[in-house]
Amino acid sequence: MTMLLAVVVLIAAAVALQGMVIRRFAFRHLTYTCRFSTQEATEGDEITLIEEVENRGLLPLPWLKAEITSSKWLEFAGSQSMVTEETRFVPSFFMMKAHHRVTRSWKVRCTKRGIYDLKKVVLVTTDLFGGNSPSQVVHVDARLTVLPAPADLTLDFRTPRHMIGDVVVRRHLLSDPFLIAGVREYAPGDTMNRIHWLATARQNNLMVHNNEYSAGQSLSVILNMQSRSYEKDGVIDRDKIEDAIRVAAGYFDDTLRSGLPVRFLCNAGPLHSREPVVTGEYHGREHVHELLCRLAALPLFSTENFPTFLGTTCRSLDSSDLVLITCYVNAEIFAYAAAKQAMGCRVKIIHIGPIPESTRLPDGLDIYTYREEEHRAAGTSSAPPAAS
Amino acid sequence: MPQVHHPHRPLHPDRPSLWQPVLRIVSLGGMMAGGYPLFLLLVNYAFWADRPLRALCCLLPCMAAGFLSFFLSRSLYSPLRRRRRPLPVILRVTARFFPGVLLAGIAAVLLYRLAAPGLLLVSLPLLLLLYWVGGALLQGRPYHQIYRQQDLMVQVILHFLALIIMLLAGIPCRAEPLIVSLLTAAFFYGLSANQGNLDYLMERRGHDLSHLPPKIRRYNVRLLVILYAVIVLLLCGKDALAQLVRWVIAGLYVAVSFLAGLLARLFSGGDVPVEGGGTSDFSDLPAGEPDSGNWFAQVFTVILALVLLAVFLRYLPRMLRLLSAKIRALAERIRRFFHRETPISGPRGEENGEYTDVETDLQQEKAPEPEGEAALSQRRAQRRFRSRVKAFDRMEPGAEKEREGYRLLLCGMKLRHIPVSQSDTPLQTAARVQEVLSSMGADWAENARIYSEVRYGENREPDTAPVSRLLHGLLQMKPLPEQSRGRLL
Repeated sequence: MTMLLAVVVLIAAAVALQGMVIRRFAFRHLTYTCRFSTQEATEGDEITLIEEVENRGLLPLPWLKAEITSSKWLEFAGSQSMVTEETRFVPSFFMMKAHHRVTRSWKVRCTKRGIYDLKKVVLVTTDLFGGNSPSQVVHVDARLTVLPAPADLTLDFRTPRHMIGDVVVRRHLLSDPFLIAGVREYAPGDTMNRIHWLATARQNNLMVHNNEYSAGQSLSVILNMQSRSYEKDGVIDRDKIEDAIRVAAGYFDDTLRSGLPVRFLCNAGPLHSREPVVTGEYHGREHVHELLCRLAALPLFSTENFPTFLGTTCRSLDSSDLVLITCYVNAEIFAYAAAKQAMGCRVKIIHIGPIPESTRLPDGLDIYTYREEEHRAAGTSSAPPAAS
Repeated sequence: MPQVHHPHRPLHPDRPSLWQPVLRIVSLGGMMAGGYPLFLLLVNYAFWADRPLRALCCLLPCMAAGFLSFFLSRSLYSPLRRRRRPLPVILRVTARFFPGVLLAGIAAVLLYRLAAPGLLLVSLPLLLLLYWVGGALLQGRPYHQIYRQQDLMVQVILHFLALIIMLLAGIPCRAEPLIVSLLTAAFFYGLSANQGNLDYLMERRGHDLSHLPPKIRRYNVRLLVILYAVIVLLLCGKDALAQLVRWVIAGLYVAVSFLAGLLARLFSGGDVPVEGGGTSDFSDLPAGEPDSGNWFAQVFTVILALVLLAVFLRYLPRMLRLLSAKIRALAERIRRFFHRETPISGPRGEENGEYTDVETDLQQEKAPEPEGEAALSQRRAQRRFRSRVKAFDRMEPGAEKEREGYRLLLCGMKLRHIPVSQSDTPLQTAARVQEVLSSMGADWAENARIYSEVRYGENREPDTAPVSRLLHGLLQMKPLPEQSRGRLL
């Protein structure tokens, strides 16, 4: 009888003891880290998310779960993850032997630009019989910045005036008066001090200096964060805005080759701020990288109406070239562009998606559409809804 | 360091886990085997003798009937059967239970033919029918609901009741078969509960069971077996364990008494009579020695004992770690001897998968030097550097001395954590050192110039005073703090 009792007591004691030990000492010698293999990536890149769990104690953990909460735009874990709205929940299961380290590498695909933080991971473990399931929150503080993929400025652009497609012409847009390359006939508008008198005497026709194009110019890229003219706060056509951001990134990337100083303006600001983005005019890799980081951090939220933004913040812009990237156009935008063009600025309007047929395009302005067919097929339009 | 790569290949979610049928059989077996005390009681009473094996022989056919009923009912109620040709309810119920009745009848006839005792003739067919019905009723449950905690409790009570009844009635019996039966039932329950717990943890958060790597299930079973083995070993070695505990307590008592006696003599200064005798389990304490007035020796003895105790306690964790590492290494060697596997020398794994695991055994990884040992090696390096500088001072002046001096300078800079790179030229080294150190700038520049000349054979009789001053300066210097360090050699 005593032996039988001893068996029962021993079994009960073993079960209770293992539960107590797990509850008290499970996380004592356990360290968990989670980090990205890189701090920056570009849309479409594949990076690695590395989890490292180290058990430096004698106590093995039969089951350990790490619940990772990240953004749905970081694609990894496939069938193992659960996606709800903007969040992706990924459970990661381990078994930790004593004095062992497990390093797990997930392949992550960055599908969308943005700044992604992994702040906390919840660790859950259990004893052998489910009597105790202690958990602990671990602060990992991993950050990944996904930069927008620059759009190819030689593809997907059309001018609505022509039936066949056209491309953005890559050339310098203003002449430099200090570089002379030959002579040409006088054209109305040429100043008198450009007249080449010797060539005029020889040709018996009024001739002027022909200037070479140079890179002593500057570019301002103005991005409209509203996808529709009546948008107040949040963006409605998110895909179009993302395309607009990629076009802006494409321009910034292009300035690296030409050395053009570039400025960025946008009627959107950092999160929790009502101040629009207005940068200085610089050139160089670092400046372009900073602009790309700003694009990555842009929330889909406008700070003010775009025509108002043009009329106030962008009124005194003095760049030689101006690119307006917008998802819709109206008379106020055209008026601004025309006014700038009259001041000697070369203005280009990039419209994302098809322009509604009812829109009357003014003459003299360079207007291009980007990815017209794709957005037409997707059914996204910047036309205002019909009145009921 | 041995590493193992385990790329995870997620199972197809629709493919049923192989674990589930196995666990179903284990749970059912444990549930049914728990009725053994009843059979033991019946058989021992019927034959009025201790017949554990005969009881087992009576249990096994009933268990087989239960299994048969379970799987028959599952096939009758399977979704595939329902889709193909659903049977009418009356037919289904008849098909489920009638074979049990038939089997019970056959068992009764057989027992009658075998001239079994009357009690067995009546009870065994009933028990067989009961097991059949039980198997049929359990078919609809998931495996972790077949053998539940309350079922185990009932079986534990049944074991006790059976033993009490047999003891009170004077029926010949031994406790060992019941102990084995109870241990077996507990193991089956533990296995079912452990795996059921894993399933519960997965399902409560909506995770598919196929996302749990099978190696986690295997590891859990391994830990369970180890726990079970420890319980069995403790039971088997209970007498030896009890004796060991008695020795430890006795030893502690002797040690404490000895120390107390020493302290008492120290403070009393006289003869402290110690009563002899005591229980037979303890040895007699030594009688008090005549007071020689030498209290110094007594103080010294106490201090020595305390120092030894302190050293022992200081190094005890390290000794335990070493001991555990040795035991682990021995266990690994034994395991490799029996499994004859090639040692893990590099990554082994498969392609594809959503993640890749790398396992590292920290015991075989080079452990970081504890702080005390790093300081010890630092002091050793310092002593070695000092002796080399002294040897340098004794050298004859010349190009060789200058070369040796420059070599020692590099060693000294490394010792003092002055940032310098092996690819730097002497002038670059001197420039970097002067950025970090504010003193002896002229000597560094001068020495760099002299060494360059010696290096290219332009100076055969160099002035070694600058390098000598630098070396002695390095000897006196303390290592640089962390923020001043940069690139290291």
